[in-house]
Amino acid sequence: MIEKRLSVRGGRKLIEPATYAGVIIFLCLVPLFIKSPYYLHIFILVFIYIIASASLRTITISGQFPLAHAAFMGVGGYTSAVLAKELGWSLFLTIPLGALMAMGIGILIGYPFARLRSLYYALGSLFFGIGMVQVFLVFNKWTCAYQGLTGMPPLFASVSKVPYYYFFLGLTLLCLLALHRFEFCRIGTSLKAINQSYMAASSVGINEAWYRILAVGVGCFFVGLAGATYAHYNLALSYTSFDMLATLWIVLYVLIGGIDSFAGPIIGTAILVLLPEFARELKAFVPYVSAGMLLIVVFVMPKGLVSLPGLIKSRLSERKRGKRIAHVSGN
Amino acid sequence: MVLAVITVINALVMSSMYILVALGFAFLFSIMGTLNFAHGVIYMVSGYICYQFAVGYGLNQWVSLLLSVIIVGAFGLFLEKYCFRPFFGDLNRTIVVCIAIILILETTVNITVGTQVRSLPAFVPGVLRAGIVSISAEKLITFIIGGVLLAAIIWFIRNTKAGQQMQAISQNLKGAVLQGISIHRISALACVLACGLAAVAGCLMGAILSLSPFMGGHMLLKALELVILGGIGSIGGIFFAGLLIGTLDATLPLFISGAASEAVALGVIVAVLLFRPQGLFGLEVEM
Amino acid sequence: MVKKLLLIPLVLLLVSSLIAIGCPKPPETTEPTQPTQTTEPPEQTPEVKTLTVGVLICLTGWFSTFDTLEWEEAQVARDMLNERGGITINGQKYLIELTVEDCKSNNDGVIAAATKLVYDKDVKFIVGPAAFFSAASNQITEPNQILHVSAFTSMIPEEFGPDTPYTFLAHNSTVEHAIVGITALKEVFPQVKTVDFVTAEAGGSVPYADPPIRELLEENGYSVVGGTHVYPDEMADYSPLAAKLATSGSDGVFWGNGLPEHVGKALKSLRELGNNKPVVFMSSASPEDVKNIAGEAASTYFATTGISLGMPDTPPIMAEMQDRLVEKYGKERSVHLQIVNAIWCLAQAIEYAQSLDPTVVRDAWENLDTMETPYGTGHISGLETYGIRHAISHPEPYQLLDNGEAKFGGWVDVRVP
Repeated sequence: MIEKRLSVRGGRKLIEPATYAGVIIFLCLVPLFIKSPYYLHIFILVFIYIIASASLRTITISGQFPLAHAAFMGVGGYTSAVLAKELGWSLFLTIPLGALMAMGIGILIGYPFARLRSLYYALGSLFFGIGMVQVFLVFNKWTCAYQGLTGMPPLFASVSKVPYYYFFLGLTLLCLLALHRFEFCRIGTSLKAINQSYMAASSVGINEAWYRILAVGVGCFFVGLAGATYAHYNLALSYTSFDMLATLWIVLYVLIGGIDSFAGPIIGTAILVLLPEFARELKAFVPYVSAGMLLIVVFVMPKGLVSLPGLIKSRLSERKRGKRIAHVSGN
Repeated sequence: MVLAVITVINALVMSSMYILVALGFAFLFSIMGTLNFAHGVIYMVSGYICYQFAVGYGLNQWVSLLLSVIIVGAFGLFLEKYCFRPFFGDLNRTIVVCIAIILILETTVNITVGTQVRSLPAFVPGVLRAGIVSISAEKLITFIIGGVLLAAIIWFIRNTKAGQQMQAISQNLKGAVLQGISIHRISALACVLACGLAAVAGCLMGAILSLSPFMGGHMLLKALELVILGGIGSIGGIFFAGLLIGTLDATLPLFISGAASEAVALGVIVAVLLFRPQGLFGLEVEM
Repeated sequence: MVKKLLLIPLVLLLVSSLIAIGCPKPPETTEPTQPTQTTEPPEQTPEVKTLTVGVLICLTGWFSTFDTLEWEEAQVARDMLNERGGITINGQKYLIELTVEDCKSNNDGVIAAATKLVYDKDVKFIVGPAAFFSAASNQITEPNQILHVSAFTSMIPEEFGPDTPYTFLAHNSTVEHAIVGITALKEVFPQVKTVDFVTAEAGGSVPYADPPIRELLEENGYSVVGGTHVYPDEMADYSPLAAKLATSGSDGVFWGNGLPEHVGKALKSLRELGNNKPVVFMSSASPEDVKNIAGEAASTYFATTGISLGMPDTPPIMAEMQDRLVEKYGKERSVHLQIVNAIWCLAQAIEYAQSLDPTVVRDAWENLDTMETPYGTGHISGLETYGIRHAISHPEPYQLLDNGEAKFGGWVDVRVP
């Protein structure tokens, strides 16, 4: 029995990295058999929003739940696009600047907001996010936020989506790696400690406010990066991509995927973006599909989609155990 | 100075409109701690139901309002039992359920009747004038009804047994259970009341502002603003918050552009939150 | 767990029954917005082929209240064109098939929809959108040389201009409406000499749309009081705006881009303040729509560009379309005919060019002088106004609201230089 348990554990250790490697290899090969630029476009959107939702989740590790994430994406996007378009700066400069701008604003408001407790923080950041969008509109002369900012330089001078696909695949993997490292290194563990009990954490010398601001800064940096690269891919930015509804969808991606697991936002984004796309033929009925998905997950899988394999396994093992018990007791 | 007089009236009327819309939301939030994001769509659907009875079937408008309140109140029962009770205390899942409800209701209304531009006929037609002051009768009635309902809710919470049980639940849940208060029954009652209030607001606003499948989102935001500014835990607080936001919304557009006035109003709220996180009157359970 | 799964259909059932008792059924048995993508060819003869035209429509989101009507009308236009024999090119008959993609009332949705149409469905011709989303869709259509017939322009250069060689404009929108509005002002409210100029943000078009409209006003002897009143598209309460208009001291209000709900609410607030100055709404609206919002008491001293049933001198094509729409959807429905115009003109251009190559069609269309539109004879022009001779000017009617009643105003033969 003991040997069996050991081998199971040893076997499971190989399954996870093997799955990840398999998925990555599959994604690398996708452009070879999916030629339609439309579906590549959808994949690219999934990649970008994975960065956004994963970075949101990073902030939530510290116990804060910001509801302004899409607005920061907009900050990154508009900064990079306007600088590149009006001043002609190179994209190697403007994209990091966009990410840094988002991070800067995040830290700037993260500082006073860090004192607020959960619900007030959430609602306060909601209003801040909406206000940020209004600021984009006020500066419409440069941002063209209403009609859509166009005319910014593209990432690649090709009409084909294939280079963009690989670029965003690589970028997403790098960002996920960075966020994963952040979460599981000492800083990340401290953040989780703060989340669980800030009194205990501070008694060990963890400066709660500083760590929270750090979490916000990191999260905002990556979502700003997502926004900046998105701007130079989509070549049209309009404020509706960054309003409260957009933020709520990013939040949904995280919640539906599973907020407790790193893989949660990845799965949540993929499912919630791809599902309405496959249902596109339903035209005006598409929101029903999304709503249905939300209801199924929230009622059946409280911990999000990541918990589905676990649920199925426990269901199956329950039945197996039930059978064995029945067998043993002679039924 | 005519403009000033008109603006003062506008500010009062807009404040009363916002307070009326936020009342149901604040009630549910302060008592049960439930963030009912679906408040906006419920408000919207009630307006359409009232339209159907009043214009589609030709019933008297006040009767239609009553019918709408009853139907939506019943929906509140369903909402509480299946959508809020399973997720009591779990904000994340409550939000998800509410978003699902928003999607379903908005899409349904949009598909069935959304393309018609329509507004409810005035509940009380006519305009009242006194010198340079003029106000439409329906806005005056809305103002009065808003005030009456606010006072009624505060009276209800303080002076009736059910209201006091609600206070007990919001103060100390376990203690309330130990006292034998039926959480589910009170919770259901609160939700029915909240939806009923949303319905009244929806019907009255539908006459003043016209109906659209997407009118809920804007009003939900206003309700959130009022509740946060007024303070969680205080119903009376939304009175002052409503006055503040209403005044801002009536005066700022006169001087600066629409987007800038929104930004300023939100900035004010964020500033208040930063200096006084519990809102103007929050957490003192002053109801 | 089974009980929980049952909840979902229960939710949907309850909600839909709630709505069903609460809301009127659409007049016809099948939902008007049901997406029909194919037209049934009358005979299955091997000689008849189909030409697929992509349509960009906002089926969901805030603009869907307007755009879904356009989609319904587009399908009527397609049926009428196919009954008239479709398009014949070099002896080969083509029936028109429309394929629609949802723009979701925002630029990202437009880009996704355009990408789907161009890359996935391989269309060569696209009509729509009927609002300021064209700049976004042009990002996809122009590089791919898709012939794009837009139904709206807000004067933004990326929407329509020398940089968009593959875009045509079937509805001059801003300038056309301004011309009609000014004509209405002159004919119906000659006492007005000074005006307030109001406009919606309309997708940021104000810096582009403002100058030509003001120029037209000044050329015709009107002076604008104060600055342009710009309001956000989603503004719900118009009382502050009405307050400004009532106290501005102008003779009348000239309302630029906007939706019927906007001007209806403002009209209501303005009249409630006791102010009776004339309001001329430039954008397309049916007077009944405005009356529904403003209420009968406020619906007076008002003019708007728009189409209503039973107008004198209605062109035969428009009359037939109106009859079909009334038959299908009832009289309550407002008629816009913007995307219809785009489809009708596109069909003629393709047949005139005798080719399915967008570049060939474009070159031929540029050199045409006139074209039949549902509004009457249209003229190809636009070089002076937009920098490209790709716009179609056609006659446009305007309607009045007088003492709570909708009346016909007049026809204006619009020429946009």
